[in-house]
Amino acid sequence: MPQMIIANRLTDGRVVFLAPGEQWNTAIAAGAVIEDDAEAERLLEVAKGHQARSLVIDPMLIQVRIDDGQVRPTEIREVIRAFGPTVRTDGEAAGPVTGIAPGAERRGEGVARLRRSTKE
Amino acid sequence: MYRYDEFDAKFVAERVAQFRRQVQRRLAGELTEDQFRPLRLMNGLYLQLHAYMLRVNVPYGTLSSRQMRTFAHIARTYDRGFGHFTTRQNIQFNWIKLEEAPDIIKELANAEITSIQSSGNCVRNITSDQYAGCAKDELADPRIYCELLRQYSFLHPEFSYLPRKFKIAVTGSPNDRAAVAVHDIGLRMHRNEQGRIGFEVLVGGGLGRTPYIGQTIRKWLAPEDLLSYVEAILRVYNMQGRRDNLHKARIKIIVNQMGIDKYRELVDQEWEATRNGALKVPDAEVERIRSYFAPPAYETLPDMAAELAAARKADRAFDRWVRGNVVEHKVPGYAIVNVSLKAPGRVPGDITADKMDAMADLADRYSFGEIRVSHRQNLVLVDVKQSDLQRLWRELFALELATPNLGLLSDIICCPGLDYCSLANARAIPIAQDISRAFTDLDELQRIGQFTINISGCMNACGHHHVGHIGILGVDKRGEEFFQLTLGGSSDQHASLGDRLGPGLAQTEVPAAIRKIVDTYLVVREHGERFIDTYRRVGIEPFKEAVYGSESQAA
Amino acid sequence: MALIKDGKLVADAFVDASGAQTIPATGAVIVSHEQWQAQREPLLARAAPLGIRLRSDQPPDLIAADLRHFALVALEFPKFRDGRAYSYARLLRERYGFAGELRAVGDVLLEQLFFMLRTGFDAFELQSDDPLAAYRTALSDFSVWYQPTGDGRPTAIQLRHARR
Repeated sequence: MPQMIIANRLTDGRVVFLAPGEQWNTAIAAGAVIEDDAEAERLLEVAKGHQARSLVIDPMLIQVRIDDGQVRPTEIREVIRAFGPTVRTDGEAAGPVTGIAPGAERRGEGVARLRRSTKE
Repeated sequence: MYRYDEFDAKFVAERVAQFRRQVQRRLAGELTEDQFRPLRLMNGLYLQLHAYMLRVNVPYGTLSSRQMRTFAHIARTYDRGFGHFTTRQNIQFNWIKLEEAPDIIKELANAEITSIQSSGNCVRNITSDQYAGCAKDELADPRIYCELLRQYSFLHPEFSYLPRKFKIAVTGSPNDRAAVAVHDIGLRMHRNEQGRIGFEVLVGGGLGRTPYIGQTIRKWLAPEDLLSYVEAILRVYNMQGRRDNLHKARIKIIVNQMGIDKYRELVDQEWEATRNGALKVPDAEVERIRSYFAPPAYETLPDMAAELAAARKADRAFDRWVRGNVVEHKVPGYAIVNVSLKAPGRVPGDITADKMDAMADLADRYSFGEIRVSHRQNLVLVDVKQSDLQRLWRELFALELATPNLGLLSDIICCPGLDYCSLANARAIPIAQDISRAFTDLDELQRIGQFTINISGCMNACGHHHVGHIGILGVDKRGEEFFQLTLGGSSDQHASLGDRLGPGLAQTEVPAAIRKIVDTYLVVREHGERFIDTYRRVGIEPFKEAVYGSESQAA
Repeated sequence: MALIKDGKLVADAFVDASGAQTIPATGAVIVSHEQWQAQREPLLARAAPLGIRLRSDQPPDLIAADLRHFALVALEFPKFRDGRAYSYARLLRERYGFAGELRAVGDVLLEQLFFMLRTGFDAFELQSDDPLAAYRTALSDFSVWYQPTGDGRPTAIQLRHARR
């Protein structure tokens, strides 16, 4: 199971992913996909070092999957952290389809897809 | 409403400076996250799923139009253009940056608003009846004592590191709109045998993992003893509350563990030593605060019952709205107007910056510049002239703030859930949206009658699901979201906790389950009784049968 | 670790023997409640000042009757979040009239100093790179206080109505 490291950036609280070169990026697409467990542990230690230097908070390893070349977390919580709320944030009412917000549709998120992604 | 004097203003300015220093120390690495966390929580700053979230107090639910405009400004300048009103008369902003937080609380302070102690293991925002000062059934305005308690609780040196959070609510009416029975301390104003107004004191109520209804620790407390008695309760809690287990640390746990009689004994012992000391509340201070809550310049107007009836007869939609959202005012010629933040498909309690500004304008033109926030996540304009009702309604309608569903099925109380909150196990908002869009027929809603639905995305119960007529709790089962229903909860003066209906349902099954519960109720109800009364009369079986029946149950 | 007493950096006059096997025969010493109970007579016979150190699960009524024997009471903050000692300090000062040194020990940090000062502590084993600066910062954080404690600072209510 491929993994990635996720954290919150200290200064603005934004969700960030550890990218190649030990940099942090807000886009999961830029995050380093880690295939090897030993490498995962090593990078987690690197991330904890960044936490000790007050760059990020609560770095942790998450499981991801690659769907059509797109990286997605397997857990619903991390999907929401990576892609934002599943509900509209523009103050408008939810769209006509049950449980799926138009914004989520544009991101290709729909509830059904969220469900599938957690069944691994 | 209360206005800061030089002491309040100085205090808040000093707090802003202290927080700025604390943030600087954190950004510079002088404070670890562990050391910083309680400090930022005591200024209302959470780290959530997407960003920092700032929770701002609306003390006892009273807001000026200027303060509402400040919220709109904060939402636009520092956030994503909207805010969320909670079940405890707070507003939350979800996309805050730590480095901007000191500037934000400074701007709030300029408008006499704070986020002080809106979180943390300390005394939180003191909540009250959203109709305070105006309700016909009110005995006395509770906000005077809320303000007294607010100042007393701010940066109390002894009680800033309690075992856990501490929530106080006050009602001045026998019809409890403040849910005092499910607070750590609940205060109910009432007259003693001599006819003097004082407080019944309840202690140990609370929701969450282990919900309890509060118990009476003292039947009648004189107002001048309020602070010393509260201090005694807090001191016993601070010393004896559990510190070994976060989930067993609230006062409700030790009150129920040792029993209310024992807890009362300990409090009285403590209180005997302090009741006639420095905490005795001077009349002069009560009167000083009371002067801020003097009635506004009401005009002497006749009651307009006849004219209103005619207008309602001529306009069906206006009639529905008056019936649903307008409440009698104690002053003739005036009315209390509930503003719904629950239009179908909306996020319950959310409001855009533009609509905040619009509400501020409406408050200035129709209600002496004041807005109230209710724990049902709606707003209220409490001093509207009856002669203005139709005009106001048209303006609210255009803003989509006039859904006539107060206390009805689609007036759903809903926490932010997994879409925002790092504590959540499941999403809550999509459930609320699904239900509200399944029940859009306004006539049907009013036929169904009073029916509260409360949704929480986890056991922390910020949606107060235990005290909903229908409660919905989101749970995580093997990575999938399921929703457990409870029936028969209530947060008013006949408070009760809901009973579990059955195994969790999938998201898509919830609206249909609600429909089945409603249909069963409509068949079984007698003399137009409310759902909660039908439930108390017939029990859970008919509803269990309707929802689960002989179908194979959800996994 | 630095000891601040009455606003100054001082050397510790006491030896903390509360965790030790044996208590020194002479000199100012701090003992645990268990040691006090087990060795009350010999401890009372010592000529030097006696201090006692209480854990956060040991409320001061345990020693209320014996306070006259102690020149110092040390109250532990095992984690800065454990706020029991704030109540203990107030009881010691305001209920039991303890007038000796009331020392905060353990996880004692700048950002909680202000509360400690108001609840009656006058000595601090402060975890800080610059304890004196931290102390002065904490002291000057606030000039308005809403709650009466034993520290004698006038509250906002008192000041509001004193002016009339």
